[in-house]
Amino acid sequence: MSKPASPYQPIPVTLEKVSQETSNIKTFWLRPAQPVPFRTGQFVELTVPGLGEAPFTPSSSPAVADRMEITIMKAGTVTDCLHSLKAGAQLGVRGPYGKGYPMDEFYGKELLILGGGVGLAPLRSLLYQIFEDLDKFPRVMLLYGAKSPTDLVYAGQLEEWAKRDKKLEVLVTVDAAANGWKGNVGVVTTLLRKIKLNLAQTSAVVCGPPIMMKFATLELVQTGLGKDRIYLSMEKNMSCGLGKCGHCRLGPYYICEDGPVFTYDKIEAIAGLWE
Amino acid sequence: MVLAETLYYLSESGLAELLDKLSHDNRVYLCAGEELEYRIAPAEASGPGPWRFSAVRAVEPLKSLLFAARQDVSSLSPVPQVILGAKACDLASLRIMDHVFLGGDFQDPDYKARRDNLLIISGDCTDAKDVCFCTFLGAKPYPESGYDLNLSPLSGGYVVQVGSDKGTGLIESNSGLFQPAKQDQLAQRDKNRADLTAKVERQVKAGGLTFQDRLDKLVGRGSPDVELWTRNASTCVECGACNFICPTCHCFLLSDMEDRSGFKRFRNWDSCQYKNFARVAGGANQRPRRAQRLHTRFEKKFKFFPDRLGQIACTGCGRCVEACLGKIDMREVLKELAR
Repeated sequence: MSKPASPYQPIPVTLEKVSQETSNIKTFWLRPAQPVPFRTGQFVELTVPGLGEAPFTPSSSPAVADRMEITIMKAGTVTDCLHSLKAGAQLGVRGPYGKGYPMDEFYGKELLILGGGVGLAPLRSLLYQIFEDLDKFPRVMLLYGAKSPTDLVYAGQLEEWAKRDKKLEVLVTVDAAANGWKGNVGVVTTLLRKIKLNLAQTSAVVCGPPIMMKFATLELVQTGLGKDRIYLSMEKNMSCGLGKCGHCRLGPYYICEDGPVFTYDKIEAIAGLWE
Repeated sequence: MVLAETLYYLSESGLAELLDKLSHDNRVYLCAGEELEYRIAPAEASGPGPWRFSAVRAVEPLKSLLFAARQDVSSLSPVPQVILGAKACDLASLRIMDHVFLGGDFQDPDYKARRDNLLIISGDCTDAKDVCFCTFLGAKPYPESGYDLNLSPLSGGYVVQVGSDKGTGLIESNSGLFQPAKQDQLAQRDKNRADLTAKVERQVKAGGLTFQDRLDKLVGRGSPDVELWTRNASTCVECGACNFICPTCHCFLLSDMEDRSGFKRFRNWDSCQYKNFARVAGGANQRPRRAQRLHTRFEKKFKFFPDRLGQIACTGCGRCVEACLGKIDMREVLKELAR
């Protein structure tokens, strides 16, 4: 099967499985009609035929091209419909777009990964990539926060990762504890106090809701981490994904072409950055 | 016969003959119509000649032939088209549009098909609208590049300048219509050009556009929070007319519609002045206020494109000034920025 003639047209994908992560977050297991190789951190446009499309970063391993998992929170027209679908549904996908995570810049660094809520989805893909190259990382710290214990995505995997390798530190927190929760309570930045950072060797990757990204970034800067060492996922309302439609412009950049990952020094001066 | 010169003379009747010939294989569009209110319209709609060669740019921008308001992305429209009478400001806009739709890793197939199939016979302006301000932006009211052939009207005919291989081909295959341009014809063309340039410059100066500041610096340092944007945006009714009439505005939104075979996807013009232009799922919006959106329009034209392409995405055509229901005048906003 050949690629569609128009770069705006998706290739067909079959929804093979849906798994419930939290009350409003599901992971969609997709099988594209032809492989869609992507680099971790790149995004795709997922089509619900006849309704429209929306941009998502796959949460699966970039080492797998013939399958793709996307973890999606119910937040709008397209995602509401996606959440009503069952295995067997026909969808469309096009991409991947953007530059993704600059792995070359991460190798050799102590990597601090901060995730909030469904923002762990693209970071899981990054973690899979890191697991492929674990010998290139002296240390990897995953700090993850969600609103409550039932809002944690990939809860089972978080426990597995914590035991996986001594290079890998996994800390989890919730904003509000429920009965039986014995872990940390507080926003994700409170976890920074629980680890000892080697600032000179550290790079940070942040993905989550805007408010979480803002405070995590400001706190990292205050801690003394260089702004050029803080990598932020700045996803906006990309429509075409091709650098043409104008929707995802952020100051001098198109997020779809130049991002979606930017270091903070490149974007800190842009008005409305955290909106 | 190969004509080595790039400057020719074409009589009015010769132009009529050329158009007649072109209309066999092409859809021919003219910038023609009422005094100073020219429209881009199919030649057949203009009726039998003699039609008036447009003195200024048309009401609608040239992009209307290349970038449809609503386009099915799965279909192409590679109909050969000819535009006669496009002006310098519209040719300048194509550099922006080409960059957007043909540049980068992906090309827009419909734009490319239309662009490749468009023959541009441009023309010098012979008058100016009161909203014209191209000279303020360093441009001239006559084309210097971007055309296949350019016509400079003289009494009874035109000085023709060749601007591309396509234009050369057109002359070669119609060599009987073109004579070498004479010195006095060229001198007359140059005088007409200088006179009109001076007229536009006087108009620009009389309108107070006298500052020398670099526009990217002016717009770049202006935060969307400053009072100027709020005040100027206060009459904006969010109709999008400034975007749709602008020859360089290219933003669009893809939308899908179910049909019997599955679904169709359309590329629709969109406006950065609409409240939800930058809204994301879940409700966050980088530019919820009109002031922020007016600022973003200026930032895109006077900062973003100069940074990317080295060219301002404003041609000084003044269409947005004419179209704005809220009487927001780009020239006035620029003047305020420079104050």
